[in-house]
Amino acid sequence: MGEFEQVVLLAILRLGERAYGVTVREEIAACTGREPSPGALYTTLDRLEEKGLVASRLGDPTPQRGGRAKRYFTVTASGVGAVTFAQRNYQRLMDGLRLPGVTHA
Amino acid sequence: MHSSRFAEWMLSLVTPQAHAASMVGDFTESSQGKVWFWSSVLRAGFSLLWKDVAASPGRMAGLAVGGAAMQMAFAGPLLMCTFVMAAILGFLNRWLNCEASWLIAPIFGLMVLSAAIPSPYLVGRWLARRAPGQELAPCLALTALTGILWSAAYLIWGQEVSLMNGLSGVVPTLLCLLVANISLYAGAIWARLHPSEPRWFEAMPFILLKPGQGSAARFSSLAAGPQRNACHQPRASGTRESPTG
Repeated sequence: MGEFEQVVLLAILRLGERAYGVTVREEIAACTGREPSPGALYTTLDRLEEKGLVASRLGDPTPQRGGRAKRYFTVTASGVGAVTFAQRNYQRLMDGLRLPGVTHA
Repeated sequence: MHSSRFAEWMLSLVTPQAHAASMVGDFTESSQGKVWFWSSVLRAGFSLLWKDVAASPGRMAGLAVGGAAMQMAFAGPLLMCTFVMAAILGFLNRWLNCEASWLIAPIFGLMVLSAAIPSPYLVGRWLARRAPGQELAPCLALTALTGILWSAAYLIWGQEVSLMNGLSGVVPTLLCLLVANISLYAGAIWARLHPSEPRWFEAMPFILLKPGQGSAARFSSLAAGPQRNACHQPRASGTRESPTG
């Protein structure tokens, strides 16, 4: 799983029931300081869904969106497992390292 | 057509309709100006299209090569016409002593246009039938292949690189390739918008017809083959199950 895929999965997990395109992009921008391009974000969301790591459902249409529905995303059990596995591997790599500005839990 | 409806239509060419609508809704909600809106639509559309090519590069390369071969097959009758026309002009010049050289440029120009418009259009439809749900992706692969071939030809022959019928030079070549590509994508878009109306040429040459089979039955036998990415079929609305990858 790529780095950006992990970022998107973590953003969806943080947002919970409110995760759709706009909020996911805002959450990533707020947490990482990088605003993802729409192309990268929606391609990654589609790819994660094809891998079975996220699922999507359509909400109700709203007027401020021109009567278009939001596509809400949730992380599946496989997605939680995959991101946990990846983060544990990162954690193992970080163990014993002393990096400036990084404190270990 | 309202601009956001047009944007939704554009995105629905590379992703299911419901997903395209929600994406345009996201861009509308973000509301950072028209330039941002359209750049987002174009970037998202191209990324989704490229994703389909990158997901199975071998299959797309094979389709591109097949498309190039089919383009030559479809252009065959036009080339025959060119030879016939050249023979007639030669006959007029030599035997009847009738000066007909002024006819060469317009006739060959028409031939080039004929080859650049209908033949790629048919190939676009042919390719689209082989990638249900990803109709434009093999066209992008063919565009890339054509670009590589013409670039190689330019590197080898330089300014002498020419299209058929003597239309030479870089600018006419690029213009003709542009027209051909517009025609190619128009064919693929037509096929995506009309999934249930296949024609005989869209099934050739990999289908052996049985007597009495209708075109729809022929196409269903074509479409019944293994398809990697059936989840890309357009859906009306609602949730979809995620296939495990």
